[in-house]
Amino acid sequence: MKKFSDPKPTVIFLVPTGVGASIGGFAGDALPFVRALSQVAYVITHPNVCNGGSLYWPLDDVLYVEGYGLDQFCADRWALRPVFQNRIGLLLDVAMDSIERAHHLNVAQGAAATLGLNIVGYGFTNRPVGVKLRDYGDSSSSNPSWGTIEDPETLLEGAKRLVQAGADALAVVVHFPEVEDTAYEQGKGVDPIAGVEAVISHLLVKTLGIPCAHAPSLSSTATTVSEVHPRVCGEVIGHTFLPSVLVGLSRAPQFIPVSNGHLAPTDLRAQDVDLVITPAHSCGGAGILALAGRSSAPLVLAVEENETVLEVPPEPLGIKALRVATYLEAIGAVAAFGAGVDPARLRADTDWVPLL
Amino acid sequence: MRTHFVEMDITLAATPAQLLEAVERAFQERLDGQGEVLRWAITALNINQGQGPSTATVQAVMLML
Repeated sequence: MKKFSDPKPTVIFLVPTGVGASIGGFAGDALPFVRALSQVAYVITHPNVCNGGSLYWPLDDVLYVEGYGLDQFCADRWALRPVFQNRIGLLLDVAMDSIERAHHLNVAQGAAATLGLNIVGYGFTNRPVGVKLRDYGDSSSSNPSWGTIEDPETLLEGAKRLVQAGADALAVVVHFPEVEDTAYEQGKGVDPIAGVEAVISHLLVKTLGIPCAHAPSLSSTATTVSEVHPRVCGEVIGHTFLPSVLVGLSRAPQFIPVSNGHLAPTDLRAQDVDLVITPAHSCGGAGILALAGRSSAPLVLAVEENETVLEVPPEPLGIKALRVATYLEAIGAVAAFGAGVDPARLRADTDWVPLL
Repeated sequence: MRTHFVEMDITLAATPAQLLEAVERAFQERLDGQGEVLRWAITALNINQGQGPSTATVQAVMLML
C-alpha cells in the first residue's frame, strides 16, 4: 500500500534458509542483489541474506528481520518499528572452548569500540545448548537442512537474563559440532547448519518478541588454509561469523504486536508490502503463503535463476506470481512497479486487455 | 522442553489462505496442546494427475513443552 510520501515501493526479499539456494545459500551472497534492489525499493529481508560472516554492508533502506518475526509480520500479527539503534545483548553457549570464547568476545569488544555499536553486555548459557544436525550426510543431498537443540531452556534462561539487564536485541552464538563439507565449501548444495540456526533464532524471537540473530561457533583445529568458493569466503576469512550479525541487529526493527493497539503511523504492516521476491521453486514458506492469501496480495516475483533443492513452485499453491528469469529482471520489475508501470507489460508478447 | 522434527502430508487447497489454514489445523491436531511450532515449510509437492488428492509435504520443528 502506498503511503503519500513513499518515493519507493516496499519489497520483501526472501531466500529460504537451508535449501541450497544457488544465490543466497552461502555466506550472505545475496547481499549484492539487496544492495542493488535498495536503490529502487525499501527492502525487508532476513539475516541469512545479509550475514556474510566477516563481511557486511549496512544499508539505510533495508530492514533486517529474523525469520520468525518476518512470518509474524507477513501474517499481520506483528508490525515492524524502525529504530535508530538497538541495545544488543550477546549470549554465548557455555560449550565453546576458550579459543572460541576469546574470538567472539574480541568481536563484541571491537564492534563496540570500532563501530560504536551499543552492546550492553554478554553472558553465557548455564548448560551446553546441544545442537543436533538432522540426517546430515553431505551438502550434495537433495534434502533441506534441519536440526534440533537438546536444551532450549538454557538458551531462554540466558536470553532472559540479558533482557533483564537492558538488552532489546539478542546476538546468540551456539557451539556446533564439527562439520566437514567440501561440497558446500566449493559453492554447491545445502548449508548443513542453516536449518538448526533458524530453529535457535525462531525460539528466541517467538518467546521474547525482540530482534535476534544467530552466529554459529565451530571449533577449529585447522593448521592450514585452503581456498574456497567465492560465495563461501565471508565465512572463512575471520575467526567468527559474528561481525555481520552485530551490525545487522544494531538497527533491526522492533516487533510490535498488532493486537496491542499502540501502533505508530510509521510502523510497517503486512498491507504495506508491495512486492515479494522469492526463488521460483521455494514458495512454500509461511510468510509468502500469508501474504499471497491476503485479499489485496502483493505482486510475487518468482526468480527462476535461483535454484534450490526444493521443487515447490507458486502455481500449485495457488500463488499468482510473475515469473522472471533473473534478479536483474526482478529489480527492473520493481523499478517499473515504482514508476507506475505494470511489470508484466514490459515484454514483447504483451497480452490484449480482456473483455470482462 | 525439547525440540522435535516432524513431517506430514497436507491436501493442497485452492488458495494460499486455505492452504495456510489447513497446515495450521494439522499442526494443532498433531500438537494436541502439548507444544508449539517453531519453524515449518512445504518442502515437496505430490501432484496426482486424476487419481486422489494432490498433497504438500510439510516439514517442521516443534517445541514440545
